[in-house]
Amino acid sequence: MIDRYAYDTREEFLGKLKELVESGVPKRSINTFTPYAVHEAEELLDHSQSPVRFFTGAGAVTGCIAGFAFTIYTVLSWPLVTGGKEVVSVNAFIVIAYELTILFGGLTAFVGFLHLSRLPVFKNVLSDRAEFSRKFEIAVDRGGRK
Amino acid sequence: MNRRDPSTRNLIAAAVVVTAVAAVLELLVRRDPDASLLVALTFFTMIVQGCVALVATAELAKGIWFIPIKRELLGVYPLLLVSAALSLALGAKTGIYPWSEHQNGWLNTGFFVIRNFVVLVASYLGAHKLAGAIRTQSPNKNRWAGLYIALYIVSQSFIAFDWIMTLEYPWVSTLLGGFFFVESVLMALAVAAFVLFFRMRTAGHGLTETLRDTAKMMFGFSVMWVGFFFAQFLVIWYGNIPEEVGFVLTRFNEPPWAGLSRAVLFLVWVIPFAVLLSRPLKTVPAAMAAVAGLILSGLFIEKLVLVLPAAKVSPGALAFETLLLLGLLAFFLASADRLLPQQVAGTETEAARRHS
Repeated sequence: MIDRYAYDTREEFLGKLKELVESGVPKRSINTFTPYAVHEAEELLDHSQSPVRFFTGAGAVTGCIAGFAFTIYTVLSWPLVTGGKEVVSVNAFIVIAYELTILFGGLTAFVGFLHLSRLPVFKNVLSDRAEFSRKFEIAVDRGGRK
Repeated sequence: MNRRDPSTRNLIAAAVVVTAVAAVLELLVRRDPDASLLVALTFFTMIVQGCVALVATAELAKGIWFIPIKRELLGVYPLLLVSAALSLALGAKTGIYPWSEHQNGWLNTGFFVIRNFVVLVASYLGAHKLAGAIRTQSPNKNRWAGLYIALYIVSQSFIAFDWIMTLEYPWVSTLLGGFFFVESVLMALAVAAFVLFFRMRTAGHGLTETLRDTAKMMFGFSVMWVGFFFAQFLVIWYGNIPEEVGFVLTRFNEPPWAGLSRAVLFLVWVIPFAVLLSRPLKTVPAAMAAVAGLILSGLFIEKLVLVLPAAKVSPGALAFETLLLLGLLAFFLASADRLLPQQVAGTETEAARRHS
């Protein structure tokens, strides 16, 4: 069961949120939906630094290693000497390694974000989707979501 | 800027004295063509133009992070007149350029001096109008900010192409202008970190968020700098054309330039990248000042690496002129409240409110 509270102003929203936290509602069971970032809400709910950065970092490092490994492996397997350059020309491979760093980092960040945000959510947690863009909303899962 | 105010008169006097000393030194005492003034003036002008460009860009983007340091960064704009005046002295030093013996329609001493002087004066006028518009909160301030940025891009391109690139004439790099104006913003951010370091020693921790934002920008521009560097390097390396590759070979393979080039890469990108990844360190003023110092040192060494293989400098004159100009810059930074008083300072309240 989910209790929903929707407000027109940020002050009312923060007041209710503070009241819920002080009344002992577990912070993990509270979800908030706001039209823009409200940092006070993050502080009230003790949202520490997101671990999504570890997903990004791991993906980026993997991408960089994969970029160099892929290019070096392919030129050693099938050497194509171009313009008199060395077969293993790191300068040229930096571009591939850089691209894969960004690609893997971006993809793992996205996957990490979905995982940590417990998305996608198929049940409706908003009281009215049409109001989502301007309402400040709190959803408390009384069923004790983990 | 109230010219009757005694402290403002001190600033004007300091600027005039520094300009006169540097000009007399270069024109009367040291008559041999060398690149000491060129290196010092390039470094100084890039910092000054970058500081104003940072303010203009942030104004256009409606940024709030820079508001607490806006006065300091914008307050250095009169120094563009010092750059313009000293650029005239470069006219007596064109013997360092290989084109000086075979002058043509574009590369001849008279036109070289006049166009750079005109562009620097135009950039000063743009900055002056921008400072006035910000001071009075004029609705035209975005227009002046846009105009200044356009003049800044032209001026930085002239510094890169005219002052530096023609030292290796006929070597060309079309990206050097862009490289210079990205570098100039990075220098301005480093100066901003220094300003915050000194202000936070007296003003407590109210500027922590501004320092964090400045550090993030330094990180971004450091990465952008290395990206621009690599974009130039890669095409020259790939093309391997004799008239292009000589420039790179000298600076990457021959001592002492090879070691210095690697030092530049470490000072401007590797070390700042590693330090600025840390979230807590971004709010430690001393750490950020140290990173800013490394970046500025690296970019100064980079100027030496660009210039010295092509032209000689006198170490004593270079050190004296650089310290003289940087001292003047520090004096202006410390006197920003004289140049842009209450009106700009008033907006700090707004920044503090929004940050809180």
